[in-house]
Amino acid sequence: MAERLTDLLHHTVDDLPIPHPDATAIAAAGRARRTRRRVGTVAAATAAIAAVGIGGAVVAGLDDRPARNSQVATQDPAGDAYAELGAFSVGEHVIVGDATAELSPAPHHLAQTSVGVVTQQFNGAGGAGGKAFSLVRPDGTVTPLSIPADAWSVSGDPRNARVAWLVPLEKEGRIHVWDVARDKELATLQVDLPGKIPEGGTSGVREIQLDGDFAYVGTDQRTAHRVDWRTGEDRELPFSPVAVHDGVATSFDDGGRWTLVDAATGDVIRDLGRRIETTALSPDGDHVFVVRFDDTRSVASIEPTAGGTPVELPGLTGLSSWSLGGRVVGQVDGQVDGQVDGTSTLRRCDVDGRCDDAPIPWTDEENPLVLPADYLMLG
Amino acid sequence: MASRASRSPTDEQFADLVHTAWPSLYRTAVLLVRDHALAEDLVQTALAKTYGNWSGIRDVGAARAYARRAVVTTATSWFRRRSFRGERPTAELPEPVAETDPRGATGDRIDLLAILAQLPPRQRAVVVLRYYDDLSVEETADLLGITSGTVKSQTSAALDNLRRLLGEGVDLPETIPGKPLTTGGHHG
Repeated sequence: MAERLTDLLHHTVDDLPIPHPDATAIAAAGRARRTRRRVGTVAAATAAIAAVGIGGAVVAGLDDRPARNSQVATQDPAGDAYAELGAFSVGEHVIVGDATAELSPAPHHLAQTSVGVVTQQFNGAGGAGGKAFSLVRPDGTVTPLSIPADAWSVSGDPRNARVAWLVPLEKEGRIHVWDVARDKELATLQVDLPGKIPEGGTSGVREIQLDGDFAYVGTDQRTAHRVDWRTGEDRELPFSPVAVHDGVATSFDDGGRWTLVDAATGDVIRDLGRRIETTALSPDGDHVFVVRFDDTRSVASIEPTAGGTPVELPGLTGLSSWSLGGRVVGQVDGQVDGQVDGTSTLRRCDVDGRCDDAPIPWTDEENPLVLPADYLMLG
Repeated sequence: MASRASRSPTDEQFADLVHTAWPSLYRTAVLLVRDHALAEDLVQTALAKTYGNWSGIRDVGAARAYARRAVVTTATSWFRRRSFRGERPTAELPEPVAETDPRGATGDRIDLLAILAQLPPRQRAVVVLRYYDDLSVEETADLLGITSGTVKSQTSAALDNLRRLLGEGVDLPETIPGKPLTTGGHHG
């Protein structure tokens, strides 16, 4: 008699001997993860694990890498290409992984999500009309989204198929969260945003950030909120987030000092200093891309969130972004080394500083620059 | 309204979570990665992530769901990093070979773990989540961060592959192109 698949699955594993978990060691590893994200070092995390690894179970592979080689390989080439190669646009060409879509008019903003890039275009001549949003998937298919025209800018969640936007009102704001895969709204919430919003137009409002269950909104009047969009719980933050990924936020104060912050508590993880042109957090929050002003030039580097030696990325500028898989993608500065005209070269670098270059076939006099995904304009 | 979890769990709260969630997570992990030691590592990592992100979890009850999500996403991350190191995916599954005979060497018991290991990771994940963990299409889509349509198509592809790999020995759910798949759980 044929067995049912469900029964077979249960028969396969339900009677397995279950190893005994060491909750203390696992908790210590969890604390080490937090410590590593805040102020510690990888060495400190290892020591913390070792200090409590006394029980019967062994805690291994807790640095989020497989302890042993797995025996499988992915068969989602388009999704892998998107994660590895990232997304950007040149004029009307939108590149998502190894796929290219053409959109007219050219999009002016790209927001990365787990299922593809949400593009934003101006409708009508001169941008007089509303804004149009589409989802460009890693296989190159384009799906128009019914996100309403009052969404002046959307922010994507790189780990979920969601975007969010903020509609600024008088002394309050309305947060919208949208499922881009199913093209439907998931939540609408009203948040108090003290002050006359927008003051000087929407450029006075920092872009919303979406990180899992939480949306982060703030204004340049120094009020910021962390809102659980599923429950509506709203908490005012002691810092103003610029970007938030996996519970880690970047922030800068009125004096121009940048910090990495625990987004839930406001605890400062690390001071990045001043004289910084821009920053971008990796999707997993473990690294930050920083472009610092040197005496004569800008210097781009990747730094571990927890601290450590920066890895310099020659040729990259603030016009760069992270791929979902953890590589920085940007157009090579045409003045690099003072000799190479790199305006049509795209560079992708991993966190260890290994870089690959590829030509960009669509740049020309009319469209000389690459628009990186998630490129954030600070008002 | 759900109560907010404190910034860090108490030792008791976290120990309770580990001990209650561990068996189920471990079995799911074994189905996903086959290797028992790797499955153990996977669940430990997922629970450590859960601890590390406790402040971002709505309530204690949600922690278990968070941990399950972490098992699947961490496994996916492991697979992806392996592919990034130069192992390119193949377009089609290999034909079954003698070592993966569904009945195994003794011929009396189906080695489902070996069969599952031949599925692409996403197909394997949807099979495990839908037919072992008893999640709906929508719940599976939400957990994997993909669309319901992708879950359906991946499920359909997975069942086709399983049908080919398992032969007639297993009663697999019917898949009719263009129609919703039936739910796979046997718990209702």
